[in-house]
Amino acid sequence: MASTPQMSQILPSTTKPAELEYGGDEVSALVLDPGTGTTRCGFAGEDTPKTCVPTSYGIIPDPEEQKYFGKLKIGENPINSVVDGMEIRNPMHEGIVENWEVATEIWRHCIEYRLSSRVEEHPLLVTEPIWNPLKKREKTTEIVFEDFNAPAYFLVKSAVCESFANSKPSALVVDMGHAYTSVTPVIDGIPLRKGSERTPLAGQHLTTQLRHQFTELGIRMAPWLTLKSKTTYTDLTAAPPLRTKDFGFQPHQSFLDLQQDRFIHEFKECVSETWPESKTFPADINNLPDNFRGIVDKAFEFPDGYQRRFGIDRFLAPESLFNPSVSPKPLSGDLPKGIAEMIKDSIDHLDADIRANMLNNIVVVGGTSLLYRINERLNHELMTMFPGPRVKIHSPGQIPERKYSAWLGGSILASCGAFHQLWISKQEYDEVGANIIERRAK
Amino acid sequence: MSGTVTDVRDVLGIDPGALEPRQPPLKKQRTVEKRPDGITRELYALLGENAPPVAVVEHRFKDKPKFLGSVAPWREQTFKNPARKDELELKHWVRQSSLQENAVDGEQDGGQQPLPLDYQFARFNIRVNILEYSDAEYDAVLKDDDWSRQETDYLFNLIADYDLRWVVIADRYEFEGKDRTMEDLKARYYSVCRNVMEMRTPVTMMSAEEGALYNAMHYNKEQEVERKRIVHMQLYRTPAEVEHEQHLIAELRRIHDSHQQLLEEREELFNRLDYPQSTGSIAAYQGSQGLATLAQNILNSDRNKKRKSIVVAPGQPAEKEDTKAPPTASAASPTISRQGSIAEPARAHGHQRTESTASASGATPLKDKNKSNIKQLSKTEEAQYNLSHHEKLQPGVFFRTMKMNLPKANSFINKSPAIMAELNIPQILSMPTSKTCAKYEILAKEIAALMDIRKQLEKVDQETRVFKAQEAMGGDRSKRSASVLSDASRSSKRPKKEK
Repeated sequence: MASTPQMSQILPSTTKPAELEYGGDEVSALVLDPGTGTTRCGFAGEDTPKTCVPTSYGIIPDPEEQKYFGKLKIGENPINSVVDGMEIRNPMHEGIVENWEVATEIWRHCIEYRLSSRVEEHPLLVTEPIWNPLKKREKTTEIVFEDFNAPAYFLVKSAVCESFANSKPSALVVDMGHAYTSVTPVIDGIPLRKGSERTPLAGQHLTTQLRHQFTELGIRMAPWLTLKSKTTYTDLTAAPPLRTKDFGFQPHQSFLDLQQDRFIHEFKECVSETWPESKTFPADINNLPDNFRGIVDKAFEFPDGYQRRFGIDRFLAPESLFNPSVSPKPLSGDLPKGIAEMIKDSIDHLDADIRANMLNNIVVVGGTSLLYRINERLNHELMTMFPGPRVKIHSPGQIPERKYSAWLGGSILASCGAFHQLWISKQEYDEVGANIIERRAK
Repeated sequence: MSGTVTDVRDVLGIDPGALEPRQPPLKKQRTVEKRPDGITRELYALLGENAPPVAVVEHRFKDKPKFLGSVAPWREQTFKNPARKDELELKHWVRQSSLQENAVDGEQDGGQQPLPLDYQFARFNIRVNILEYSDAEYDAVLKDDDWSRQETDYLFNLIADYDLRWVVIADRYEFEGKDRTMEDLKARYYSVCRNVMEMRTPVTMMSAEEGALYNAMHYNKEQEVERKRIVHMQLYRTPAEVEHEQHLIAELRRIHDSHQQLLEEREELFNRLDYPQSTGSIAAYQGSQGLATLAQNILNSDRNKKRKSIVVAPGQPAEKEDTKAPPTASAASPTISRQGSIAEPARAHGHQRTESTASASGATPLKDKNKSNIKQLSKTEEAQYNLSHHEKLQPGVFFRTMKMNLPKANSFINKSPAIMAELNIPQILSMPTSKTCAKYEILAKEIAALMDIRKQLEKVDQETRVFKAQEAMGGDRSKRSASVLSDASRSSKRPKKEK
């Protein structure tokens, strides 16, 4: 009798579940969401990916042997272990796959090793960025059907997945990822090309800026992995000598960079903060006016034991996302547009009738959107740009939902009963060839 | 005392059996100790051994859920989707029981389950019907200088692909580098549809449904472009414009609201001015009983009115509704008849605005301020503005002439018209200002006095004649008094001479 409340929520095994409930129909599909930072993979119908593998891989280049299969270090542990001569590389460039051999290996690693599934038994849903060129899409199709031998496959734009994950068929998706921040208008699940924008002002940019900032300050950026022990100190001029581990060899610089990225990442998570209003950010951070208020210092300890309080300088890197001209490290080439301007440009490209709807349905996702107060800032900037129409930013409150929004949308899509007619089957691929992707998944 | 303990146990749901081992000491306590003085009974009852304050719960695991019946098995089953053109077979898990419902032939061995006849999600595969045209039709009515056949075909394919989602179609439209706006595409599509429909069935022959569709296909490109331009303008208003607009909207709303208030106030004013018009016959009130009820009704309405005038503070529309509906039917009827003629919104806006701002900033302090701000007028100014002060004003509407203080004597009422005519003064004042009324009153008084004196004179004359007759008869006793009387009559005649 006491257990009745719980029992009423779980459907008893004797009653038949309601058909068409949620429109779901599981066909045990796999969902793969490859990104520059991490590759997410899992079973469709679940709410978070089963595995999240860094897309960076380790390799010991062998000049004699051109092929390096089997020698790749893929996964969190292998790439973070100290191996003589191991270089860290990334198969992705500008958000799209460059090195197909490695990318295939990483995907296979995710599915076969991490999920312990046989890819030829499951339909496979893969996400892609909106700017993925046709050649790359065809290549992906080839790999899925030729290498993986999947029974069915579909390629879907990550922006569409993200809008679905936030239960919106039409939305302006702002995806702040690792390599790119992209803005994509989605109408009834179809992304628009003309309003899509992207900029490299994203997680990687923040890391670069912070690394530059630390170097400028003269901080020794020895990563945790290379240190034997640490002594805490606050005065950089009187720094105690570094006590590094002796590996018997010098780890490759790319490996050290990756290790540095780890604590910079932590800095991003704990210390960095977005300035909530564009106008009030001080023009010259070295000469703050006396009456300047609103800064709370935050302390951070670097791996070598250096402790420092960060004031206005912890706002600098996030500020450069909105105003690239304040970047601590000057950007090469033309100055990219700030994120808010990019959203405005995207809106300007749209038809006048849907603009108000888009502004009311702005979906902000991606790991970089977890930066403290970034949505507040974005909201403020957009409200200033569009004082008339209603601006509303939707952002999932759960951290995994924000980070894995694209995967989650793919998971929803691939477990949806009405979606199963869209799968590109092996049979269709055999009849038409790789070009089928252009016909079926526009 | 034991009674309270069992009660507590009963409330807490403790098994009465648990009480038993504790009973002997309780009894002992009761026999040995007596309540000392100075301790209240309630406090004393709390001393000593009592029931535990917390219910004792037995620690054990939750019961296993009891499922009814056996667990239905699930089978992984391949299925085909009729919405697909190929032979793709996917697998999903289906409950055994529903399998049997769907299956054509329930029992087959070797796990070779028959495929269900239909896939439940296939019915969601719906496409929009797009008009198709033949070569002959195209050549006959669809030729256009701007649009080639290939481009038209391309457009129609795109429309079919994206199910008339114009935003997407305009986004994806790429034909030989031509720059086409969404309006161009829409105009072409609808003109093609209309032409083809018209060719197939002339407009006069169309059924109602076709006719409606034909009319719906009418597309005015210029109007659409203009509309989009306005939408664009609306979207990119500057903050100042937005603020201005909001201000205007607020103003409009306030005017609208106060208009309502104004109407209510006017209505109330009319209510006050209107005396109840009797619409029904008075037959009901002719008997003594009818008269009694009428008197009672009037008394009641009077009482209500008085009470409300105390309750209702000015500028409180919420309570005004009560006064709006007076209890007697006779008073209510003119209210309704008046309502139609009240509407005159524009005039009192300025006044209303100040009033509403006053109510926003707190009504009472402002009122006090107003009182102190009243300008003191001089006598000449008062006369100029025709201001007058009264100690008490009678309720209701009346003429000033009606309130004139005229002599009430019968002789005056009977004879004054003749005297007025003699003096060339009209009986009814043509301009009854307060001044003339006052003068008129004085005049009337003097006339009355004059009439009095004349009467007296006649009396005295009469007496004189009598005295003279008596004197003639003998003695002059009353001579003196007569001369005094004639003196008095002479002096009282003086005002008339002055006039």
